[in-house]
Amino acid sequence: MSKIVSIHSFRGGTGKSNTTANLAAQVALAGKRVGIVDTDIQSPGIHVLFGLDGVSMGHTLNEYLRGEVPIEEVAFNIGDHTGDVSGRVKLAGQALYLFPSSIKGSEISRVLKDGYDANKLNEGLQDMIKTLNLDYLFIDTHPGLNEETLLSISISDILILIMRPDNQDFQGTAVTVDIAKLLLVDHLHLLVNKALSRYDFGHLKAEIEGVFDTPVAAVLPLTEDMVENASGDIFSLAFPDHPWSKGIRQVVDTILKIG
Amino acid sequence: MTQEIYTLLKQSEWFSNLPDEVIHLLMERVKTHTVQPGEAIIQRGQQDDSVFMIQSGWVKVVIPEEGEEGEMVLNHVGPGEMVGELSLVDQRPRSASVIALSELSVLELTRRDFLEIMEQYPMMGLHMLITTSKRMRFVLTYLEQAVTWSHKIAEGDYSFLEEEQAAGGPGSVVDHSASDSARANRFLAAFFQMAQDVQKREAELKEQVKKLIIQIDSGKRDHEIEQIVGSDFFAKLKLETLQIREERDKSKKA
Repeated sequence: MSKIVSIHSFRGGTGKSNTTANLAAQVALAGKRVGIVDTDIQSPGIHVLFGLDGVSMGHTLNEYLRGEVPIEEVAFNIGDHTGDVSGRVKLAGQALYLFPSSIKGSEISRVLKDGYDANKLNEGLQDMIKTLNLDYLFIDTHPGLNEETLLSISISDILILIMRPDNQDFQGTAVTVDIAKLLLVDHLHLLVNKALSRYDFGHLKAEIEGVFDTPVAAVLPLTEDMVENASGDIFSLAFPDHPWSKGIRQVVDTILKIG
Repeated sequence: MTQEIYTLLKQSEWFSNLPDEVIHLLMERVKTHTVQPGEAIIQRGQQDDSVFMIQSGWVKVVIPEEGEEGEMVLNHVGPGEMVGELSLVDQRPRSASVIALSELSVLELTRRDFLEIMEQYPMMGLHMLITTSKRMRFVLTYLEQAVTWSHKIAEGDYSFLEEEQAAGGPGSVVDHSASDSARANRFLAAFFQMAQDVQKREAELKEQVKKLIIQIDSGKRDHEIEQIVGSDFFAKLKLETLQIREERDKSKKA
């Protein structure tokens, strides 16, 4: 039974795309057939982590949603195009498909102007799972709680809400948690990212679980090493022994157990 | 006054055991100063080379802490003792400041006068060496204790500070009846108190996490949820979600 895993955060800048890419890559590395959809059509970004640019990504989700191409023509198999960076190269031969959104200015403004059909997206996701026989489909959502996001949340089997340990994130995440519960998401997990090293992570996890009444899959540290990596690679593959990468694998274990 | 100075010189570390003629020679050369509490008789970094003998009152020997108004107290010095002997010997800038803790009467002897007298009575140099060695031994005890306590702090053990605080109140003058090690502890305790303050601040920062979480505005939260849940879109979505889930469950069973 395939699972839809939405990775969401109420605010931008939580490291959502980066986390999605790392989780999906690790699940693929565990031998599962994995897809990643960038539904952040207004500001797509996950393709960069997989070394794609406007030319190499080929057809996009935008074209599929307008009914111009079938879904399989949008799928880009990372396992066949890893490039030679130290982390991504480990994905060679794995089934990891990216469904990129267009990064063309005209395409983005078209979506902003017209919106896109939420139901069509839903159909598309089912189409992806079926056509590519996926075990897991990861959705990198748009921050906030707009209609597309609510749709992504509602059709998720697993929802991972990323938050930083700061007040603005706490407030927005509290709202998102309640909405997700109202939408009856089966498996809701929080993921704390960019935690300052001065915090006691164990204590932080317990506090947040208490306040949100929701399990925290991991507390990931804020790390300068990540900034140096500058989005050019999949961090947890390139630096598997780093505390951040270990935290990511903890989340992956949680996801695989649900599957 | 003259008698007082005579007695003081006869009892001092440097000049005791010297014949009366030397004492009289010294009495001709020394200048007496009165200093108010808080005033400095020696400023760290200054280029002068007199030595001072405390006649009455107490001084503290301090190093200012960089970029702050604080200071680190190295020693307390009282009647009959000398300060400023290092610059007298090596003529380099003053290594520490000496500040009056109470109203002070001090005798100043210039390097030039000191050298002239020492030429005639070399024994005076030996006495000076003995006093300087004593100071050196104190500094070594001080350092040894500083290293020991640094190790304890590295292990997160601050218990020695409490023990030291129990041993004597801060701010009081540390007199010479105490052993070198007890005196070093007293001065260092003030310095290591700083380390404990750092630890406290760290603990407070950790505590802030708790405060952050607690600061969720439940009124605002309820209002935002109400806005989303009350929309037509949400009602429709919820219905559709239920249908999707039912279908999934059916297909699972099938």
